[in-house]
Amino acid sequence: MAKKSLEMTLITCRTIDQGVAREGEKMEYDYQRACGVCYMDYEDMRLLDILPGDCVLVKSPYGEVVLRVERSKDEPHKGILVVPLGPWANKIVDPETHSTGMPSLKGMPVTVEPAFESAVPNIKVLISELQS
Amino acid sequence: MCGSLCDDVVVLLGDGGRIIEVENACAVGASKFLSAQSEHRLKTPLMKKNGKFVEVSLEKAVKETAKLLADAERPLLYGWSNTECDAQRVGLELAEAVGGIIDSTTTICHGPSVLAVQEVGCSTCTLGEVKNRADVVVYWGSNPIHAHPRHMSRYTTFPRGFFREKGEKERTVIVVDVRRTDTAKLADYFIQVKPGYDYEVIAAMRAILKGYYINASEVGGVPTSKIKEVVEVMKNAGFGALFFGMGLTMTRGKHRNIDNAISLIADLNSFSKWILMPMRGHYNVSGTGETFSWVTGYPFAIDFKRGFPYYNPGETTSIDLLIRGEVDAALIVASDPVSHFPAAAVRHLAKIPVATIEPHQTPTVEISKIVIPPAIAGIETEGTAYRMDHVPIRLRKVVDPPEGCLPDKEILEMILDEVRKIKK
Repeated sequence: MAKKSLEMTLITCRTIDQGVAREGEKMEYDYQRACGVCYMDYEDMRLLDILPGDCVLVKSPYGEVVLRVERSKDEPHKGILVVPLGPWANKIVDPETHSTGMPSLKGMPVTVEPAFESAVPNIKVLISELQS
Repeated sequence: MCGSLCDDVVVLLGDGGRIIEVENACAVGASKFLSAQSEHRLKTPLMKKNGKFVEVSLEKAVKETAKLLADAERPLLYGWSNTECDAQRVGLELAEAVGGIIDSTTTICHGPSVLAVQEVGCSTCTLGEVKNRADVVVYWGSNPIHAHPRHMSRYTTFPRGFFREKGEKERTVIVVDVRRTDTAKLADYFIQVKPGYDYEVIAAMRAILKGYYINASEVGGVPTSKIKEVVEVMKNAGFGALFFGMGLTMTRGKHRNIDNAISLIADLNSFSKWILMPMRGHYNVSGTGETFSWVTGYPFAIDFKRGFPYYNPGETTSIDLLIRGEVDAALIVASDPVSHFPAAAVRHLAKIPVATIEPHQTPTVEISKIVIPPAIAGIETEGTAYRMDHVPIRLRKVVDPPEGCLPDKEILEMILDEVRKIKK
């Protein structure tokens, strides 16, 4: 059976958990829990046959990253994948600044597919990937 | 802490200056104070040897940092938003001394807003005026419940003001966002716009305001009738305030979205009194704009390579410089670009020698060659910071810093002295 996948629009965001964890706890699990996550509509989760807590692989032309899925509290926003700003989201965002200095961190097309066997990379793994 | 820069925070101290509790602050503000004394706090300067950090003296770390910057062809001095204004001023002197580029986190938050303000100006006021006068408050592409948790309760929506004695009951809140955020759930009107269509919705509002007919049933995913209804509310405001966030600056259109939003406010001022204000993220990011501007004439992305300040966003902005691979050394002060820059920019940062002045273990510390932990401004040392409405607020010292940790300003002055010795 072909692997299910979904074309979505990536929106990065701020969350209170991310705000708390970034104050001195960035190398800790709390930061991963706050930022290594994506929020989507229940309808989109059904299309992918996934449940909250499952992992998905999010791909963009600039990279890919495994994220934990949570059901969005801000439904409905069908087709929109919400990811807190942080090193996980930064792997898939568009770095093009269009001569403004600001990369395109919202509104990017991404492909989302289930990744049941995968795990969200921890911050040290992400850093070593960036260094290699 | 965020750009609301709450000045009513009370810190309870126990024996030996231990921070026990933080009152009045939100969860983010409280964690800033509490993390200052956490077990993860860095207390000694570090240098990498064979891929591992070893403790070194402050003098050695300062000398090596000065050498790293003085030897570089195109050094980048980045960060500055989480420290006080005097340290930022010394940072500018250092950038000039090494012929480097100095840039703040504005580059990845409200840089486009600055570009728009430089093009079309901006009608604004203090948050005190909003509290006392505003009866219509708009949050566009901003979710203060999460990013600026006390903004609504201290300044805009819930407090009783001089002319708004009934507080929330006298105010109408409008939220424009791509999803029904926690802020939107508190709003009287919620406009759910399609991602990347903010410019079109603002343009439709301006057209309606000027009496034009919109020949479409919806604009940017929003029914035209709903836009008309909201424009009517905005037109009839006694005093309106529009706050905008990353939803406008990071999305398609960037500075042109802000340009159009400012023009909307200008148009609204034909009917009523309206102001607009960016929701600044770091507690002193407005301070970087102030300090950099009064010293050099430019608010961010300033290049001293020519011997005088040169500013050209897209060319002298950090992310563009890093992606082009132009930078050959970096000094990071009070910031964490490894966590907040796109991977393409971080990959280059990880290749070049980086010195970091930072009190906590962060991903940027992990890739650094030299790390100098400072005293934290507003907790362990005093200074001045600017709130998001550009009101300067004095930061107080609450506790003593760990032994040997100096304020950012003093560390930067030591580096500057060493650079001047090398360059002499």
